Amino acid sequence: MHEMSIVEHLFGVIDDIAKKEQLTSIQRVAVEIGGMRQIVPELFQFAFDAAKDRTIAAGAELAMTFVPIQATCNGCGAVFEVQLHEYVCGSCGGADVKVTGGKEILITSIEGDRDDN
Amino acid sequence: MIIELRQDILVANQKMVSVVKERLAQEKVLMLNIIGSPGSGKTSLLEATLAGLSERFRVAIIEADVETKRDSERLERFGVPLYHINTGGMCHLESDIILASLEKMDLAATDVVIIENVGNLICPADFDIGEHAKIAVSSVPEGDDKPSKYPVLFREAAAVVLNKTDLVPYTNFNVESFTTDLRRINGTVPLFELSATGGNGVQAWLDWLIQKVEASQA
Repeated sequence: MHEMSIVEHLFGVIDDIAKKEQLTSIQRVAVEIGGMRQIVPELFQFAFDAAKDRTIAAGAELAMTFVPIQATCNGCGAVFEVQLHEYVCGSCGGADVKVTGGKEILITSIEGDRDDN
Repeated sequence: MIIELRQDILVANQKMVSVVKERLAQEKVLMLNIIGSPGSGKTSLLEATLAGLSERFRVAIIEADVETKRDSERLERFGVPLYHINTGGMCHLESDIILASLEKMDLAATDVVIIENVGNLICPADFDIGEHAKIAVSSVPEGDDKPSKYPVLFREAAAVVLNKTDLVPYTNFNVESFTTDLRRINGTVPLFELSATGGNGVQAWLDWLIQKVEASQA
C-alpha cells in the first residue's frame, strides 16, 4: 500500500504549489505515473480521496495518466515498449536492456482559484 | 486557472537521496538495500554475510521492521554498529530515515552499510533511499513464481539471492522456471543460489560483495 505514502508526498507538493501560487481552492489535480511504479489506480484514488479532506483540495478531482515502460537495447540500440514486464529486445532478442521510461511519478497540472483581493 | 507543471511527486524523498549519496561518496562507503518477503531469510543472509565479511571490512547495519527489535538482537553478537528502525506500520523505508541513521554513524570508519528493509516485495522497490544496489532476496518455500509476480523488484535489483536452496528436494520449487522467469525480467543480474544457514553457495555471494566494496573504495 505504498499508494498512501505517495499520496502523502503528493499533498506536500500540492501544498507548496498552492502557497506559491496563492491558491484558495483546487478543483483538479493531474498526475502522470509510469508502469515501473506499480500503482494500483483504485488504491491511488482511494488514498487521494482519503487525504484530500480538510485540505485546499477537498473537492478536487484526480486525473491519472499512465505511461508505459520503455526500454532501450544495449545490444542493437532498438527502443521498445515493455509488455507484461518482459525486458527482452524484440528486435535482436538481447536481454541486456536499459529501462528508459516508465519511472515517472509526476504532478502535471493543478486547476484552482487564486485569491485576487 | 490551470497551472501546468512537471514536478516529481517524490521530490522531498529525492532531495534527501542526493544528500545521502553525497555523504556516502565523501567517505567512500558502499550502501546496500536488502529487500525480500517476510521470512525469506534476509536476517539469516545478514548473519552469513557478517560472519564472512566483518573481519575484513567495517560493516554497519540498519535494521528496519514494522515492530520488534528481534532482528537487531539476532545480529548483536557480531559486535558491528547496528541501527534499528521501527517503521510503525509503514511498509518501506524512505531516504530521510536513512539519512538520520547515517548521521548517527561514524561513516569515516565504515566501509559498507547494509540495510535490511521492511519485509515486502512491492513498496520498498518504489522508494529510492540513496543505496548503490538493491538486493532482492527470494526463498524456496515462497515458490518459484516470485520474479513474475513482483517484476519491478527483480528488475531493479543489482543482485538476486535465492535462499534456502537446501529445501528444494522437499518442495515443488522449480529452479529452472525461477531462473527462466528472472532472465526475462532481468537478463544480466547476478543470481546467487544459496542456503544462508547451511552455508552452500554463500561464498560466491561474499565474493561478489567483496568485489563491490573494494570497487567503491578505489
